[in-house]
Amino acid sequence: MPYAKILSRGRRNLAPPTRPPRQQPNLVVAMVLLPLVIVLPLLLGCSKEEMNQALESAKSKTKAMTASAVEAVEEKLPESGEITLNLKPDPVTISNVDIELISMGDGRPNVVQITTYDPKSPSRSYPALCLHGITNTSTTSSLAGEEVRCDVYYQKSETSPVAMTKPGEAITIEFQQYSPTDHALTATLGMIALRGSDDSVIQIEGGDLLAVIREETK
Amino acid sequence: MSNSSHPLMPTRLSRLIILAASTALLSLASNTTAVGNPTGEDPSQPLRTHATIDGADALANELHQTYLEELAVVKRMFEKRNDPAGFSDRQISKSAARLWKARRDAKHLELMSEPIAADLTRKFLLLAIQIDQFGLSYSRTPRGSQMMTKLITKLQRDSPRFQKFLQQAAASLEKGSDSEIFTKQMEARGMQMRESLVFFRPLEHKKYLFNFESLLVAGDVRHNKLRRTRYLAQANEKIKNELATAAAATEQMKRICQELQETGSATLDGDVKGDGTQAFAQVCRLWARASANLTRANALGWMVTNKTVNSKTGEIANLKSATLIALPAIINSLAETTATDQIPEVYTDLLSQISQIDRRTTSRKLVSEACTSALNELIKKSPGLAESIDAYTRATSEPLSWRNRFASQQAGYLSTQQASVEALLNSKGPANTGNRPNFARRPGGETLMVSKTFNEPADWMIDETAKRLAGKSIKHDHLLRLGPKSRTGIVPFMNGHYANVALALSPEKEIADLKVALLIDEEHNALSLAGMDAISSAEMQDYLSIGGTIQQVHLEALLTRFIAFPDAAITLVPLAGLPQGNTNLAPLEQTCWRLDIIPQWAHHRYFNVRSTDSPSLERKTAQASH
Repeated sequence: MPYAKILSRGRRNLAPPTRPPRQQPNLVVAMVLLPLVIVLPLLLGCSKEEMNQALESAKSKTKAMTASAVEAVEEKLPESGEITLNLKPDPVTISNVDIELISMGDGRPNVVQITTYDPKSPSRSYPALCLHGITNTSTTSSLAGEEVRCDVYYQKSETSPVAMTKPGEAITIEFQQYSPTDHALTATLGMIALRGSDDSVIQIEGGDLLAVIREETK
Repeated sequence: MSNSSHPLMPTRLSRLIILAASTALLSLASNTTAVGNPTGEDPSQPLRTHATIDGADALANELHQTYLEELAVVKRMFEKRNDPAGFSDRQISKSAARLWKARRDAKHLELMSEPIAADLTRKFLLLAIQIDQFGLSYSRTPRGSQMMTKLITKLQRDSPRFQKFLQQAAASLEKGSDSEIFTKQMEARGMQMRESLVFFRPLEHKKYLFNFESLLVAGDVRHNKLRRTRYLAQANEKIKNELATAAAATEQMKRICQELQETGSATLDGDVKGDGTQAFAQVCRLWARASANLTRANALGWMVTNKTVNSKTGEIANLKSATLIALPAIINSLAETTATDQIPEVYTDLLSQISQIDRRTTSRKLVSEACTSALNELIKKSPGLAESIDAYTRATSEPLSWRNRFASQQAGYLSTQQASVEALLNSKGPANTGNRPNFARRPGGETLMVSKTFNEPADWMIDETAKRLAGKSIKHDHLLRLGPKSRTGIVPFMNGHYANVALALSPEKEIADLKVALLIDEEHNALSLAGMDAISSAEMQDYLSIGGTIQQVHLEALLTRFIAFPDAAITLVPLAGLPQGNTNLAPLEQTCWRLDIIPQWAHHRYFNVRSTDSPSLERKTAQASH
């Protein structure tokens, strides 16, 4: 089970999304989170193998979070986020998920952009995904608890058809938790049917994401 | 039988749009001519004249009328060719004389550099050959033999008088007397002789004509020289006028820049005062208008030199330089005079204008690159604008990049079943001469879909080409709308053809979606050139390519297309460029094919729009994969 999903579900049980623990010190978060992350998969009915994977993943993440807390004020960004798209028949998980909030400063809404690749890099990793929507929220961290409607752009491989939302349609992203230590946000995705450039249909039946805040521009 | 049930026939509405569009484009052309060009629907229309030379249009109309009348005579007689005794000798004489004169008049029209002249010459020759055969056939019938005896007696009796006429004509030629009168008198005599000689074998003509033909040729050489000098003077005068108007446009650009710099406003068309952004628009208009002047001057140059070499490239380059100096200068003036809080609005206005004009030039970034530095200076005057533009660019570049790739891929799928227009026009198809006059039908063979030259009567050419092309599904690149309110898109002229496309697709949903992605609302416009180009091209319905069905084909002459070239048709020729004819062929011979297309889909850089009856792609790709 992807870490993002675990984190997202864990957080949902830990605290309501409307009140994320924004100001708590990293160390405290890590200490509270570790046992929960270990116990929760059991409660959710994971297999032993999945549970071990989740445990290892959670341990490494917690190590990172603890280390960042130990290093106190020194900002250390996590290396990667992750998104799971519940596609039929098989879900797709893509690592390296960044979220960016771009403010034009001229009175129009801000842009939320979530990508699984570096927009500045000429090369793309596949599957590639971009979620693009607007919000009146002014900082990325305060997206927690917000719903944002986004256009979806998706391409499974370099040679597969590009798919995107149909004109006038958008996916709903429900942001849930902001983790200051991780500098990351968790969110769940709604359902949407994407249209491929070859007129094929890609049905997304929800999903989860953990997106790392790569940059914030005002 | 009705056409309405044919699946490839466009809707009545689309036809009306095409008709209105065609009329709009053509009615702006030379107002001296009342005729159109031959089309698949009406092949008998004559080729339009450019009417550079006084009297050319009237002469062309008169000769076309003669052709239609004599064609009817020949067709009628051809039906009865197996019974020559039933021919009317009077009709044969009359037609022979008329066609002899008409062929001479067509040569005169050729001196006026009218492409229809060669077409008429070709047609009259074909008719004259038939009439000559009818004459000979008739002469071998019993009635004809009797008539021949009388004719020979008459010709012999008239011979001394005719020889005296020839002596006087030779003397007149020697003295260099009036060519016009000489030609008229010789032609009157020639027609008389032709009335009789049509019944004789060609070898016998000399016996009765004496030195008539050599005198006529000598007179023609002298007369044609005079005529050609007069016509060249008229053409050169027109070139001079076009060049002067283009030069005046560059002077106007300079004046506008100066006024704007000195007073903050400039006098524009109709003596109206305008601000900087209006002055910018005016300079763009002047560029387009002066380009039309130079396009006409250039085509007149083809006419004068009888070579399809572009002689006005220097003037086109100078006009481009003048424009690309004026436009940044206007932006500089605006940077000086615009209130800080007005700069964002002025900036987006300019960006919109630049994106529109950029798409109408030979290179997509000609104007934007020339204006970059001036725009940057303007941006600097508004605190925070540069940061907003930078943020906007980052906020919109990903949707644009994804949409671009989506649209390109989709267009690839959409066009899998469609041949490119070049491939189709250069392919061969079986000839079908069924609609030609009864005397000119021939079996089979394969010919090119379109001919680069007039090599057969224009009505035969258009009939065969239109029959083979109408209803064909094709893909064409680069569609530009004729004007902001026009219902017609144009595929610019290239390789001897262009296209008129009815803007019958409805991209409203796609435009609304693009606006959301580009953060555009009633109060906020695009801030980057890429974003502005995306939205302005979408709203203008300027497309990268289209796929559709050929609804109608028109056969035009290259020379006429660009001499009788309306200002409003400048979209046919990208700014900073000139139409490129085939330099290996004489300008008079060259065709210019116009295709009227009903679109099934259009590929915008960031989306595709399809007609409602367009089939789904999945079916197409499945078919294509087999």
